[in-house]
Amino acid sequence: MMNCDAVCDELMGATVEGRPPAADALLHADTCRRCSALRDDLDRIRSAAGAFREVAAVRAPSAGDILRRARRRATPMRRWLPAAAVAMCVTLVSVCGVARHSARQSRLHADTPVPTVEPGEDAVALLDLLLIVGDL
Amino acid sequence: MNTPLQQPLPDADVLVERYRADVFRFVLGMVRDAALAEDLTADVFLKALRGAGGFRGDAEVSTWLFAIALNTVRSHFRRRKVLQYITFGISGEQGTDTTAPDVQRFSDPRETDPVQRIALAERLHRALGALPPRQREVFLLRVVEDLPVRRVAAVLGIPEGTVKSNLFKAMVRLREELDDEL
Repeated sequence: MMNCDAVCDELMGATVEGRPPAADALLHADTCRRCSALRDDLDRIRSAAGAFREVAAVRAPSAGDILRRARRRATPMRRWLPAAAVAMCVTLVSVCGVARHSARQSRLHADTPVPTVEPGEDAVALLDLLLIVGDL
Repeated sequence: MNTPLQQPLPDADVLVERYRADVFRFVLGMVRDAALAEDLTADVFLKALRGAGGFRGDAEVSTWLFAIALNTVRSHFRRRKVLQYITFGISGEQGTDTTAPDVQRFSDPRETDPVQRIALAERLHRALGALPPRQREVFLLRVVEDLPVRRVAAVLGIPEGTVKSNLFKAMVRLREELDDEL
């Protein structure tokens, strides 16, 4: 005779593996409040999954609609947009680098303290931007 | 979704017609927004048709498509995270499509009334939001799509034991979530 813990494990295990529970477990669940509550809840979850399956299938767009959307999303403009954005970022970072370099040079001439810039700082900033744009 | 092994990919029209509902359902369950799910479903098929040459036929077509759908959904979540970071969260949280009809409490798991079935589906749709992404993926593939554990593991690229433990946790969590509603 199975105890409650074993029955609960069997009911859950059967659901996880997609097989019917052992007959002993079902027999026990018929007479035990705790186990029957679990069995009923699992039935409800499966039923809810079935309902979700039916409703979502009805709401699914038609094949024609999907192909139309796919064609629209595959336009050259959309394909080249990320590359254009990356090019703009590279240009922007380069311009900023040149401007900063010029500012540093003019400060040197003015004999003022030069702010320290870590080597590779521009590269890190550029990489961050590329990662963000790439993700977009 | 039971295409035999070592079969070539069907034509684009046939591929989309045969698998559109499965892909849309999985994406909808993940993003929980019907309009967004339609766009992402189109993206999935676009990627699939572009990468059709890379389909080796050693996996079932549905396994291959679900893997593409999974990557598409994950990319979407990553993009959304970056957008939220850049816009200081102004872009907002998506996936709160709550268009469910407010109907009576559901009591019988074998309910056949269409209105009640829609309400039940919507309750599950809401409850899915409480699951972490990995548990949601496992639940949708294993319970909703009815894939065997072996194929769920293949789609997600994780061991079968991990699929089972995640599904176990998902069921416990869903039981709690649905308990308030059912």
